[in-house]
Amino acid sequence: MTSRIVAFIRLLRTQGLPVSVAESLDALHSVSQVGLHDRDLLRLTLRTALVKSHRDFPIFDTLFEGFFTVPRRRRRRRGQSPASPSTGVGQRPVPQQNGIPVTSAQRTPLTPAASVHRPAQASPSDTPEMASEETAQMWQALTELEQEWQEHMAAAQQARAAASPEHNEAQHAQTRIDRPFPPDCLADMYREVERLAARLLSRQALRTRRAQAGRFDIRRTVLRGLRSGTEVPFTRAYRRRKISKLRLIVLCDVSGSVWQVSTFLLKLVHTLQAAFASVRSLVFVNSVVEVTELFRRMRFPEDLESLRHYPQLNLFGLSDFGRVFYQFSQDFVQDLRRDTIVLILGDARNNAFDPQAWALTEVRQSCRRIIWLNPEPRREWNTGDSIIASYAPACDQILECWTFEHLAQAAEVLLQT
Amino acid sequence: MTHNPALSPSPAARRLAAVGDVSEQFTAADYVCSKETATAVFLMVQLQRPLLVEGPPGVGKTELAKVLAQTTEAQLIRLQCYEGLDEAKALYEWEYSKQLLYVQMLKEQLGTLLATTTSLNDAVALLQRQESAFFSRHFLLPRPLLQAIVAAQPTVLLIDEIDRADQEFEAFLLEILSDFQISVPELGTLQASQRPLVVLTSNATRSLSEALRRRCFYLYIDHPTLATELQIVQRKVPGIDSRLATHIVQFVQRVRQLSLRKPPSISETLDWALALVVLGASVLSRDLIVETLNILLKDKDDIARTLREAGR
Repeated sequence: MTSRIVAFIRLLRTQGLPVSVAESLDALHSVSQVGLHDRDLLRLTLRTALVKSHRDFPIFDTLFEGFFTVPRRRRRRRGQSPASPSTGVGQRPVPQQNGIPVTSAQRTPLTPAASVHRPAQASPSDTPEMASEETAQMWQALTELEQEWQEHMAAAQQARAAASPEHNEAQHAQTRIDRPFPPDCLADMYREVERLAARLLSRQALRTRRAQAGRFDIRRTVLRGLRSGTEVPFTRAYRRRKISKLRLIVLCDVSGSVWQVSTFLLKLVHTLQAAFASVRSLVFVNSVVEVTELFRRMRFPEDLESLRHYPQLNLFGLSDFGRVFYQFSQDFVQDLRRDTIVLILGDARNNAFDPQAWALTEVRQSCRRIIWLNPEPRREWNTGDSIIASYAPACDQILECWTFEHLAQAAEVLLQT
Repeated sequence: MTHNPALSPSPAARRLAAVGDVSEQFTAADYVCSKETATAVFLMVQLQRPLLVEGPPGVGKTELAKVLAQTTEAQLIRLQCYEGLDEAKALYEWEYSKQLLYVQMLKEQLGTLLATTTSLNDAVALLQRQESAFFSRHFLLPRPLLQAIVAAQPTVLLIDEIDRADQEFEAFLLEILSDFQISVPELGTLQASQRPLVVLTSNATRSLSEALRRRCFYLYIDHPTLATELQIVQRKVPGIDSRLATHIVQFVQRVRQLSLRKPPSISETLDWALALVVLGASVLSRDLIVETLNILLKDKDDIARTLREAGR
């Protein structure tokens, strides 16, 4: 049975479920505990030990169905390729599937599957004495599995690197975010943004906590003790640094060309809310609309489309940064404070309208900093109708923002201000 | 790399010796559990692995740990996680003021002890020899994790809502979950005399690290099926009319289909059922639903949406 289960684990891995050696060993131990007489119990046992996310349950269940079937049904299907149980599973694109070697264990006669319906081979009573031998066998099988897996992964990686570096899942960081995504990929990217935000948040929380806890201050501790006349300093004193949270105003261009990046930025900023005293979101094409309230109620990414139909937003107009900054300096400047960061996202392609850079300079005078994210590669700046250079003097930082990594860097800059 | 669990069955493992035993004893403790749950609990008890329980809020994840403690006659130690939870709150702290108090009280004793010494160096050396007196277990304030490790009797350690804690805390937990030991620099390593049964719960507000998932068995508890929920209501709300119970559960099951912001949980179903029993209702009329729906749903828009749907 051990070899059968190891083969099954191999199958799981080819389908992209991350199963480690320790988990495999757990699974084998678990199976020896419950026995093999109950097929559904076997399924639940393996699932408990091997699958650590309920999102992977459907894949697992399908594979289990296909793999542990009674021989009678299998014989009819024998003409097909040995990997046939996996072909029906379409939930997860498997880039490495083509490269997987069909191994001997997968092709072994299906007799062990028949034992599923026999009474338990390893009943609890005889487990102890056979345990060490069993474990050694399992270990052997697993080591082989691991070796094979490593080889396979190395081969697959090479193949992938040779094929197309852009579609490499491991290189999320390099993924361009300024191109439209297929919908299923998009959900993944949002999850990735969330993960990034979580990481940044926990780091920020740590920073704040350390600053608040402060460093132990011996001098003041002793002084305090002396002053209260106890000689022994009972109350400890700390040197604390005060960190105050900043306010953030995000100003996002949502015209067609930069829509995609804007949604990622808005998502990121809203997940990072806890790190700021307040976050306000404004979107614009040729006039500014505040969408903070909308975002508070919004579900990502389903409701994003509703943003496009926001009444005051003329989505099909031409981007006019000059007009937007003028309007911003008129309507929002009274809300700016010394601790406000203005974050602008846009390509500064002004369609030959008046830049009105003086308006942005005016904004700069009443806030802490202005950070500009440009979703175009640097070499394209100031070409055509891009006029980022005329806004540059008013900005503290201008960053490229067209890959996932850029987004992460921008967030880092934002939190460290 | 792993011990062989089959060689040393714990009392809990003897008590829950088969999957059937788990469901039986849990049901006796008024916890209706599915086969998934029973299997996962059985395996975690037999192999002494931590169990990570995920699922929407209010499906009985925390309750599972409580019932596990109850059926295995173990004490339950609970660590509620929150943002900013750190080692001092989770593991141990030195009782600084107690140490100082002892120093103060033993001042004379120390005086006589040090009177024999002639130089400062001798005095320091002598004090250092006595150091262990002030860094003993006596001055250690154990927090939940240490409590669970040093406990003499069988223990169920519930680490509740681990997703609320920061990621560093999760990493720090890894050592404890795999080795069940804690090193205190002044005392050395404290090893668990008997492994506590560890249950971790998560509402999946953020995704947990792969490393943590690898070390645990995994159980996902979803909203219950109609039959299971009916069974739960009948067990937990004694004296409820079976027709009313059926109506309630059917209604709740339908409400869950509506993709609300916060679908009703089991505990809310129970609250609602209890309220209806107290109000003396025997059938679920529309007026009654309008009046009491705020017990089941806690969101203005959700209530409006449900009433609109129920009107049809």
